[in-house]
Amino acid sequence: MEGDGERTRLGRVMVADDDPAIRRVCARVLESEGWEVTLAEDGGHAIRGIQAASLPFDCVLSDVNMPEIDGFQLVAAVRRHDDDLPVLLMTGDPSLDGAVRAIESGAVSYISKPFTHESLAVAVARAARRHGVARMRRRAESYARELYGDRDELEARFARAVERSWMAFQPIVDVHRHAIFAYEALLRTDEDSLRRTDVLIATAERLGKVPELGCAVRRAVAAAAGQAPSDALLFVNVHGLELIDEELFAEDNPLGAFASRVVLEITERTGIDPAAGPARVAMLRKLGYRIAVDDLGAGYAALGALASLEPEIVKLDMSLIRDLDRQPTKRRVVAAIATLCRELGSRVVAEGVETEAERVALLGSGIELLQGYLFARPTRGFQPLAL
Amino acid sequence: MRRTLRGYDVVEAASPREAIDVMKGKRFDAIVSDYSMDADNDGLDLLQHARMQYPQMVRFLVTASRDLDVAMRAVNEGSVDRYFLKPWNDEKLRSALDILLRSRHHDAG
Repeated sequence: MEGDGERTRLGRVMVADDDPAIRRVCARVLESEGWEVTLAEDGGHAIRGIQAASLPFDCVLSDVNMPEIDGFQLVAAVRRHDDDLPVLLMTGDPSLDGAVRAIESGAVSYISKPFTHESLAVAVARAARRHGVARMRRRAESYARELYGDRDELEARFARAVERSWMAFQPIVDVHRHAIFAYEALLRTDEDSLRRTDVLIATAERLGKVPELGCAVRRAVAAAAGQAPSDALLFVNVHGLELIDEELFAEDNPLGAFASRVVLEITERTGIDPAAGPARVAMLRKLGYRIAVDDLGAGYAALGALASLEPEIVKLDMSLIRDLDRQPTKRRVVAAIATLCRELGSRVVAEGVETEAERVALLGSGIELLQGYLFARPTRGFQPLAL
Repeated sequence: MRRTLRGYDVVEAASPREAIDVMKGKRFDAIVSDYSMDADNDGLDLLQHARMQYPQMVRFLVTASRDLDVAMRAVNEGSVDRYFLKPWNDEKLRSALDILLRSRHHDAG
């Protein structure tokens, strides 16, 4: 530390990287440029540092690949705290996919390592300047009203949607035993503008309120669980981002009391952190939950989860089920997946079963747990089996 | 793209120059631009122009290029809200647009 406290600082930068050598380089470059630098050894420390700061930061510089919370998740966490604090991501392994994710996350920069002194200095200065401009702009009255109005309005609609949310339940039928194996809890809301579940979830993502939505789901399922037939399991969907939400693991999670009857459905569609995911899933198992991998067959994603999460249950995406009876190749794929799952010790559920012919074809492939309109639509409450 | 965006009021432009002119005469909520258009201006230049002139406008880039440099530029110039590789996924593009439009929607009408 040099005694140059007299010098006017340009502003404050938070640097997060798990590699101490990179932290040192960033500190040296940025301090020589006149920034006050705070170092964090991982995403969690960075977030806590940003939240606890008495003087606000002007920008955040973060590694992409870090254990527990990666750079993309750090951007999301920063967004929850501050609407426009810029985050620059740096990576030793730049890729097209990474750049696209950086854009989607709202990062302002994607810097490949190693970088030159000059390029880092320029990128940080530009990000902070833009942040300053954005702040100034927002101070202009009309603009500020507009911006806050927008977000406020969306937040208000989201809050209404959560308040008016309820759970629909759709049976998963054990065709062999002629009994209901489980009910899947499906989120519904009476708020008109967010009736589509995918839009509601995307809105929660946008507002950084995925944990809040998850919490509402758990409360609602727990409240209804008492009325469910005692021999039926309850399938509850978990968003990838919820896996890093401590409340899911907290003692006062209302679902905890029913853990032994609850199967948590995880889909890679919403992004499971490949590093932290398996550890989080192991924690959930310890709490008594069972795990299902959802949407197998939609894209490539879930095959990875099959290996890393060792789920008790695998749900085949309805795209694999549709017209199964008329497409021999599809039938062979489904039969092969079913065999693989059995060998791995997982039970298989087929989603989206709509016709009698599909039911027969699935039974022929050795799949007995079926869900879909052929049996019942999702409804309020737990409808009994009408075979 | 017109099919992807059905339901929206869509105006087409064949070049960045034409797009800039069209935007002068009418208020737009979003711009979807191809990356490769003409030698002088590419899609990123056009979106940069849109960002400076109409900061509220939602800006999407669509490109067939798998060139990492283009994607890096898109992030680092800060002019792109979403980046889509061709062939784009209709559902994804629409839902991204719906959400961004809604979050930037203001009471102009």
